[in-house]
Order: sequence, then structure tokens, then C-alpha cells
Amino acid sequence: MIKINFESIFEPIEVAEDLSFMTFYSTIITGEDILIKVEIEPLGDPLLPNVYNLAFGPLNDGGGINDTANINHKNIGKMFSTILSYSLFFLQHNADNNINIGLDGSSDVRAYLYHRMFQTNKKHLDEFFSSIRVDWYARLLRNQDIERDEDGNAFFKPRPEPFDYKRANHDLYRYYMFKLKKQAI
Amino acid sequence: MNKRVEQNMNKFRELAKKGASTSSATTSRNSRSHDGLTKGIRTKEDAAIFMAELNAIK
Repeated sequence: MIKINFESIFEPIEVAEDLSFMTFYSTIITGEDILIKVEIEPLGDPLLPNVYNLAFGPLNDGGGINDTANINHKNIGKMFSTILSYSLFFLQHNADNNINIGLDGSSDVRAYLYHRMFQTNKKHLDEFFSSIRVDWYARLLRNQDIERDEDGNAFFKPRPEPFDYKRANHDLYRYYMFKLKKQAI
Repeated sequence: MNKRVEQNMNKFRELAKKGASTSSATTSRNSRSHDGLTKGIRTKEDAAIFMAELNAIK
């Protein structure tokens, strides 16, 4: 289980001046410390304005994030606490811009991890964040067809909604977002 | 916000003032760009299954 605690995080090593990334070292099972990079960048989806995507992982050869790496962190709770703590800092710095930060549950494993993390740490995270989840829907038109894109494929649109904590664990959301609670500023 | 969390926020703030080098060997700027979650289709297979189910209903 991932235990989030903003009072216990890894020491940040670097923070970009524009806050677009930061780095820290996380200890893995073998005892080795590996550099983890956290990036927060505009999502770039016109249907989800003011959303910044959160990505993290060890560095690849090009200095980017290897987000497919399979790493056994010694303290995964502290690792996620560091990442979310930096997200809190980012949101506080942009408090006037009504920004959301999002985590892409691009695979079932990741989506399940994020889903459980928000579920099991609801009390702690609710002190700082408002949690929002996103599913995608295709609009049913009055002619009983669905809305389609220019290629004739179903036109799915994101629909943000509050996290339904009673929703079954296997019924995962596609995207997990959070924004600053006003009292956390 | 308690004192310990505020101290952590200050650490981030101080490091941001120094400004990490974007050409640093360890933290060179990631060139990865996000193209958004256009259409929200997780995979092409998901879309194909959805369309097949829709067509079956119609």
C-alpha cells in the first residue's frame, strides 16, 4: 500500500526555474539510489484546458524520463509523497491560474496504482487537494448515431467528475486529476 | 499547513531560485511532448470494440 505523507519526502536535488521539472534520489530494493525526474507540463488537450500532465521516472540515455522502467522502490510511499509534494508546490505557485494536475492511467497497472493511492490516502490528500477523475464518453445524437470525428470514428470527450470512492476498484478511471484546495494556499 | 510541509515547500522554492540547468547531464530537458488525450481512446483495440458494440446495437 502506498502511504502518502507530505512531512516525509526525499531531498529535492534540482528544481527548474520555470518549475517544469525537479529531481530527487529514490533508494531501490538493491540499496542503490537512482535519480528520479518529475515533470509537469501542459497537457495540450483543448478539451481539458488548464490541465498539466505529471510524469515521473528514472532518466533514459537522452536525459528524458523512462516511464516504462520497472523499478522496485524501497519506499514507494516516500517516492510518491515527494512527487505529490512537488505538485502541491507547483499548484501553490500557480494558485491564481486554477490549474489541475493530471496523472495518465495509460495502462491498467498504472491506473490501478493511482486509483488505490487516492482511495487509501483520501483523508491526507483531501487536506490539500480536490480530486477529480475523468472518463471519456461519446455523445448520443438525436438520430441515434453517436458524434463522430472527421474520420468517422467515435468522438470521445472527457468528462471530469468528482472521484466516486464507492466505485469498484476494477472500474478504473482513464485520467486522475487534482487541484489545489483554497485553504492549502 | 503544518511547519514540516511548509519547510519542504521552502526547499522547492529555494532550489527554483537557483534554477536547475536545462542542459545538465542528469536533468537535461525532456523533449517528450504531450499530444493530449485526444478522443480519449485508450487503444485502437478499445475503439474497435466500442464501434463493434455500437454497430451491433444499431
